[in-house]
Amino acid sequence: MSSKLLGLHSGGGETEQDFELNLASIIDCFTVLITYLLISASFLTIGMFDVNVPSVGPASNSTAPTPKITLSVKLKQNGQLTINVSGAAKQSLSLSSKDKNWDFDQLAAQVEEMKKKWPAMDTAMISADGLVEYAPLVKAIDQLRKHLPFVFIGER
Amino acid sequence: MGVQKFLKKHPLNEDMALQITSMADIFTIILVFLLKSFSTSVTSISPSNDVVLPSALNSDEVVDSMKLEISPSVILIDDKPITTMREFRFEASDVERDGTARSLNSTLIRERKKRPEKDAEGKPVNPSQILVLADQKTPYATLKAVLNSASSSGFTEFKLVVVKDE
Repeated sequence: MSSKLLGLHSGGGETEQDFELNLASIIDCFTVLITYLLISASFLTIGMFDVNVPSVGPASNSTAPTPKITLSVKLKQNGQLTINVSGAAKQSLSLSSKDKNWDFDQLAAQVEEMKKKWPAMDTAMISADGLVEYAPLVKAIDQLRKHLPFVFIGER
Repeated sequence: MGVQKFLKKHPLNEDMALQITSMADIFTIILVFLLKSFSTSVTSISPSNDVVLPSALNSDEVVDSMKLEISPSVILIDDKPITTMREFRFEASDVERDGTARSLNSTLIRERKKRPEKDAEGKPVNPSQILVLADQKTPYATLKAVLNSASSSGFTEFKLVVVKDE
């Protein structure tokens, strides 16, 4: 009885129903969705650095306390890196270039050593010669931030 | 000869049916992949075509704020061109005594005053925060001048936007 109602029996059934999935509409939807997602997709992963700039103007405007020990790094046009420690401790050294480029691995090693020597050191000032490009500056900041949370761009 | 024999045994059917089932399978896989990688982050930061961001290994999380973009020919604030440059150098008529650009200074001061303390949803927003998207070839002198302009205008928190180097 039920099979008759449903028309499921084979041969001679008046109410056989063949249902075919209409893939054309689904393909249309998929095409539109895929096109939209491809156009709006971003294949770059963006990140951000927190940096500071020394106060411009009268010193009285600055509300931040002066750090006890400050590390100053300067990128020179010829590939040299000069590192100066100022404040409660003093040290200066110059890192020579590596294949005419700045040696950021050595910078990282030196900063790590200095951080172990002076754990209170938490601030770095980074500057460069006028024509030094932004990319190596970012690499230097990247290395400094591993050990020092506060990085200032500029010179006091 | 062999081809002709083959064609006699298997004549070509004029009506070629498109294999939609296979296409649906492929589209499903591509769609699932794209949906998985679709970013729903708060900020959609996309630099201009002529700005190549530098790469860095370590970075902080992305936040939403006012964008300051430095390209070789123009400085943009929230995608609006403010200061024209030639190869990262300000126009002679636009340069102040301290090396900053007059047009940039005035715009930054105006933008800083306009910045609300809360966003449209009522959440507190840091009005003195600014995102800096600079091309990787930007000379330090230009970058310093731009940062000094922003600092003088009341922006105290700078976030340098980089590409994560994985």
